Amino acid sequence: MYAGERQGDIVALISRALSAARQGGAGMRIARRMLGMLLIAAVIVRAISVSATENYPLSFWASQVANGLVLGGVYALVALGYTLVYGILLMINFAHGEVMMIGGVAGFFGLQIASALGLLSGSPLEVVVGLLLVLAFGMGIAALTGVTLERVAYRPLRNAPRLVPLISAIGASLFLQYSVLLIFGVRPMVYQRPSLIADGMRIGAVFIPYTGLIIFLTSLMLMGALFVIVQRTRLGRAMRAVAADKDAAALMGVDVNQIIAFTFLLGSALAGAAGVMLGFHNAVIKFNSGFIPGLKAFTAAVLGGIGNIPGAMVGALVLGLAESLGPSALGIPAEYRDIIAFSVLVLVLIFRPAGLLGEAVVEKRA
Amino acid sequence: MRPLPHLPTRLVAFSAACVLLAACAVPTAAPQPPAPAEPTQPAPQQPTAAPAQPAAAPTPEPGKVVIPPGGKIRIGGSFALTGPIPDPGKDIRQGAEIAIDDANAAGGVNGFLFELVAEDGACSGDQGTVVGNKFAADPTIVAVTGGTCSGETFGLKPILQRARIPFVSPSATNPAITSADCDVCNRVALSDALQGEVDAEFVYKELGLRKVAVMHDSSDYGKGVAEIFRDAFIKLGGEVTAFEGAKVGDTDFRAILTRIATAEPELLFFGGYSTEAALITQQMKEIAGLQNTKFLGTDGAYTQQYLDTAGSAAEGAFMSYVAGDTQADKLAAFREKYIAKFGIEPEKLGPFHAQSYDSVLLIVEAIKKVAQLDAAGNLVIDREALIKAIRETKDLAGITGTLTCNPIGECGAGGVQVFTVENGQFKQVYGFGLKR
Amino acid sequence: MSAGALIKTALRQGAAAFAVLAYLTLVGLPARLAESALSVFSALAAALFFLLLRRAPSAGAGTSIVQGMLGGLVLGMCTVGMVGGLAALVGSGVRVQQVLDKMTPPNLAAWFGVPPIAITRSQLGALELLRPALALALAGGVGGALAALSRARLSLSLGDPLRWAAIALPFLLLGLVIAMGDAGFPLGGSNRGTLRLLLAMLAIASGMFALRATRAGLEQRGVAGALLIGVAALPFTLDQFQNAVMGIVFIFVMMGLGLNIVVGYAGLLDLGYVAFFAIGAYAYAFLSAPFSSPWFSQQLAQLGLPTTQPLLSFWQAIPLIMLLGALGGVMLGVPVLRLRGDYLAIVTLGFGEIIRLFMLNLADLTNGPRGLLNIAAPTLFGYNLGNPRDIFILALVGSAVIAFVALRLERSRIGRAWMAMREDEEAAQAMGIHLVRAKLLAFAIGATFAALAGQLYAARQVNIFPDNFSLFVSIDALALIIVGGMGSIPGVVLGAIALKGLPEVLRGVDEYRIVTFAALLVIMMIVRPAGVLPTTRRRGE
Repeated sequence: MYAGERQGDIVALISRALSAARQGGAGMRIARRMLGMLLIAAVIVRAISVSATENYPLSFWASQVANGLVLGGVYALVALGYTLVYGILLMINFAHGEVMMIGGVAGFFGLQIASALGLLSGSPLEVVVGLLLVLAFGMGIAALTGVTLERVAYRPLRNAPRLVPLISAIGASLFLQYSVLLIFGVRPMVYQRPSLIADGMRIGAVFIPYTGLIIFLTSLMLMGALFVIVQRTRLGRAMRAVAADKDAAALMGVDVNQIIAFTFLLGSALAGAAGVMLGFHNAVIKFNSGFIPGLKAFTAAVLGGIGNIPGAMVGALVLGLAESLGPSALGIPAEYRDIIAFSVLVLVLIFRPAGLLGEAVVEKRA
Repeated sequence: MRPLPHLPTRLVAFSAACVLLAACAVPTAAPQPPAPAEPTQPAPQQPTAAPAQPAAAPTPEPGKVVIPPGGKIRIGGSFALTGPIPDPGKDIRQGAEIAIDDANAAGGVNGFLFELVAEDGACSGDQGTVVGNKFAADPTIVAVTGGTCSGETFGLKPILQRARIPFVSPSATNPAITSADCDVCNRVALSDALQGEVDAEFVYKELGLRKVAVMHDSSDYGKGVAEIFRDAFIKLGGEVTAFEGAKVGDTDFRAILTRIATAEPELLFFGGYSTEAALITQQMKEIAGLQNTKFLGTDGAYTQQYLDTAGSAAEGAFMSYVAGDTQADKLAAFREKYIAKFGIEPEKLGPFHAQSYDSVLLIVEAIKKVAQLDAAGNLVIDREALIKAIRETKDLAGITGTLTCNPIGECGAGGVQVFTVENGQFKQVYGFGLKR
Repeated sequence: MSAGALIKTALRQGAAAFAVLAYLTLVGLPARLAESALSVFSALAAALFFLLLRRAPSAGAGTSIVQGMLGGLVLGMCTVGMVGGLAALVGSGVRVQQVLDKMTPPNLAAWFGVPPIAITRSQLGALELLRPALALALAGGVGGALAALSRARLSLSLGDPLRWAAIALPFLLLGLVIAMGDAGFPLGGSNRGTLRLLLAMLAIASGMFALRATRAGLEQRGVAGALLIGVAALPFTLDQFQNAVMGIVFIFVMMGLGLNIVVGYAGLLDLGYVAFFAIGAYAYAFLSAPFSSPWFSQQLAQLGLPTTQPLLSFWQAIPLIMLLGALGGVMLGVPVLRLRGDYLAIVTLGFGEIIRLFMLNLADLTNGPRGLLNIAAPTLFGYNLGNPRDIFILALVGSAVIAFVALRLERSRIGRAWMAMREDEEAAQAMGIHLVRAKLLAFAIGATFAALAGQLYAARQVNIFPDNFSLFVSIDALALIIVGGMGSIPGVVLGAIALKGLPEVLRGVDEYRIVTFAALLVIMMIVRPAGVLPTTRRRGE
């Protein structure tokens, strides 16, 4: 999945190119490009005509961009975990959103403990330390959940047909959701923001909550860190080796089980961080809080080219912006924002089947 | 080629698993009285052992429920225990249980006690249909309380109508639930139509505002009440700057709110439940142009949970609610029993526990009127008489007020009240029963 | 085995078993079981240790028992530590329930066999604390002994007699179900209705096993025919609730058979299959209840047509709905022709959501979240077929017809093309298979079947809402063909019973419905990933 491991598949690439040529040929491809351009042009024309009639001020667009970037940041944190697991295992961890939710639940209890200990009412430094501890707690529990999930629900299925782990993941997703409902009850868990991060920045008429700013910056930072881990470290090399060929990696002395467990640990810790930050940003975590963000994050990961780390980030931001800007730009009710999100996905995949940043991915396993 | 020995093993394992699962279901299923034969079947012979047993199954009579001595009067309940809003569903179930406890503590009917048969309607029409069929197939079910959601109740409606089982919904507010052609359909909840209109009057006349934005959560309840509010407000002469929908379960409303803010409305009306209402109240404070806009929510959000979630952002927000008049003492007694039994304050779960208590009360009182003892000591309840008795309920003192059913089954008492949030508490400012 | 290794294993296995029991305690099962809680949990612990120790490499019977007892002791001590600690917290007035919703006094008391009041007053003696620990240790020993026994068991092979028994079983069960319809039948007691439903489902399920056990040819056809007659008798003997559940099971069989063509035969992972189900249901709703759609009734009024009557009857609507379904399938199929695998999954998922969101938001056409009401039931010669029994019969007939078509397709030229495509697209293309045509045909035929299922569903529900067509319907449909075994027609029936039928039997455990189902799904995939009844073709591989 990652750059540098594809040279061996030249034969497959050539055969794929040949088949593509047979199927559609150059004429077909040009026609498809034209259609894509036409669609983009239509959207732009519509957006201009709407903004001319609606006359929204510039600050409105700036606010919506800020909203979209924050939303994209949330999706990105979850999407990074999806893409990481997919890159290594070629499997959709459908329960990833639920791991995020569990991180949020753990963070809620961490927050209760921290505020009971008086950590969140002291000096700014103390509050920052307290918040970091809460974050670490949420990440830790989420990582534990993720690793357990891999051990119990996915490892026994590693050599099964591809649909089997997907179904197992769907089962795990429902199981986690409803277990949280049964154990902790139906009341939503409400995060009380410490006053340090309760407010936000004002740039003219544009307001950016601190929590949103933190989410956006953290997601950028974590994406960078993840990219470095995968591309530059020994562990990352082992991960890429496992992604390329598990058996060959094992022969080369890589402990495949350990590497996969580590991948889950990393991805789940990210999801846990997302859960805690989402809790602070949107105030509420419930048993089903992970499902919709999980679905959107998955969409974002596919949009950017699943398995590709910067792609997940780009996909998430595009999705977030499409959702917040789309309805206003196209002059349609806000109810349609999910339709816009999925339409963007369908269109991108039709015109760029491997995602925005993905390169032509060769199927390794049929 | 054909690994046969595997098959029987698998079959045995599969059957064993099924039997085990069914066995799990046994301890929770209520002990039924010896069931009378199913009405769909002619039952030519009765158990031969009948003479030896005093509590033998009585002969079924068409259109009547016959309960042998020692049996219980079974009232079905369709509650949204899973699905999108399990919180209010659980609250409604627990409210109904308290009502059953109270009825039994008062001695039941002629010594026969009541029993609640709770089923999960999951807030969906699909599950409502299944639950309805289950009740219709059980000849011992006398009446039904529920469903929780309007969609679920639409699933119940045609089936119970055919089976001649009356139902009283505590919380389904869609105007179309009751209709002139359905004599088994009743509800204690007030139809959305009333609330939306009173809210519009409050905003236009009492607050004197002319420019509002309207939001809903795309549920049948939220969208319904929002549309009625919008139409009523426009009719009064006001201006509605936006009509936008979010979804139940959404947590980030900033994009929608930013767009609403461009028209600078004086008030934002939201039709929906607590969590979404609280988050909107909070996020409004972040959006330039909405900081001074007032907020008005509906009865789905009139809960302690709304106050807890929204925190200080809730100060000054308005909330409308459908309530009765002078039943504060009854409510307090109910609340005490509820906390003693379930260990939690009812307001923390949802808004409809009192309505749920009253809908069971309505059924219980009607049963008391029509139930008769026959010669063998069986309790006989005539279904048609019960349907009539529920519809003819008059001046029944419930928690939510004095209940009287109108000819199409609207039994809700009281009227619409509007509250404001002051120091973390709801305080009434307008509407029904306000003492100035 | 050294003492150190023994203790280490005991700690590990004890912790694993503790995780299970702790989970069950946290979700509130002890309160449900009341006084039988300790015995049920002990039996469960014995079963767990049996499973854990069964695979142990050739240890002696004594070691196995000691190992089990040690593990049981660890389990018992952990459990008593947790439950006792919580009880002490509750006793000292901490409101544990604020956090852990199910930690009520009755729930904790059930473990110790004391009345709940003893917990709130913290009157737990050492004896009460010791009892569960000892019982669990003993249970561990029993599990170990069972494991030792199972290693020594004789392998039974019965061959032909067992095969005939498997074939006879469904008919015996069907007989039992029909006999239970008689009020005088002495079986079942208080839970008779549920038991009967379960037996009816088991009869059909075991019938699917029986079909597999027969030899191909005359024997198989004979058994299939007899089974069809037996199942056809069911609607006339079951009661209303049982018929309603069987009706929805067979509507999902219709849907599953369609999805089986797309996923099982052609290998195209479709997560948005509910879209076609919704198209069928809404199309029928528009045709039979145009008055509940604002836009439709307006149009009809303008055209001067009557607005209070169905436009087409159930039977007249069938061809139109099949056509619409096929069109929908092609519409989804064309843009995704180039996509494969997981990309295909997410695009189809998006497609399904888009259709649902349109139904929710196009309020003028679909009446939005308030749904389309008063959809007409099918009628035949003036006789209304809207009751659960007749819907069940219609679903059975529909399933039989679709199964027949699917069977013929599987063995036809296009069926073989689909399977070749599923295994390797490039190779299939090289062999001269027209991929575009094969894919579009799979989508179109699968969608047609789903649309028919949707039409019947709408007629059954009378009122339909966008919420009835959520992603979970797609997931259910996909899960049922995977549980049953991909590409296998008896597997679809079995999967539909397991996924749509069993949850209804589990109604008694209302709030545990979904977790039980979810856990079953995971366990199922681990224990038998190819499904309960895999296709013969797959088994041959």
